[in-house]
Amino acid sequence: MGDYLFYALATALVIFSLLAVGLPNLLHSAISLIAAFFMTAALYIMLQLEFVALTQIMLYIGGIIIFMLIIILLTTGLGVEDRYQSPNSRRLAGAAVSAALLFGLLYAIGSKPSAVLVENVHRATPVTMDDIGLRLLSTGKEGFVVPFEIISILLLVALVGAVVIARRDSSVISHDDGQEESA
Amino acid sequence: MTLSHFVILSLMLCAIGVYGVLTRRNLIGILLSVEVILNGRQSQFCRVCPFQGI
Repeated sequence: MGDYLFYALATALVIFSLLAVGLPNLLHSAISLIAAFFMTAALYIMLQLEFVALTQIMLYIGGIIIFMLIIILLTTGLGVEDRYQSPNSRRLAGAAVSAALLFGLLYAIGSKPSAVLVENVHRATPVTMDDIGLRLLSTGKEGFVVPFEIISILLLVALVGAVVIARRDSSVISHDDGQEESA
Repeated sequence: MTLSHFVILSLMLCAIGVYGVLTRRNLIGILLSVEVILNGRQSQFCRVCPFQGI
């Protein structure tokens, strides 16, 4: 049962990724990328990685893809085909390069099966969400509270920097006749 | 759902993303293809992470 579910999810994931890469309309590709991310989240749930699945849905689908959809709708508009279609020769060359990459990597990994592929290594105990939360906010040797706070400061700096970049400099606008003395 | 299946799946996703990066001519399209590559990479990481002592 689990195997068939995996095959169905993997087939859907590959099909949606192909659609996301190949569709001429960018809005449709972003929507199929959302479907591909949902399939990936389902695969993570099958692997008993609930935290990663939730992060996938909340960060990737709720954050990055929505952001991309806003960019696409602001720049191109609804239902607009991509004007810069690549020619068939370029598509063929891209397909050849990616197929060479795929089969080369498959050959390189399959010809020398490492300890990872043999899968006789010791399985760790599964990590629950409580463990992740406790370790993220605990001080001490095993805790990660200092990197957590540093990341918060980094996000704050990025936020302020985005506001500063997006703000129109009033001195540049007032001195529009060539002598820009913006400090 | 062994490890080999996941290796093949993530390599296929990476190849699809590389195809998109090479053929798209729009910057946002290239960004979407890079997301497909990163998706394959992350699924591989998540499959390997329950193992210890590699």
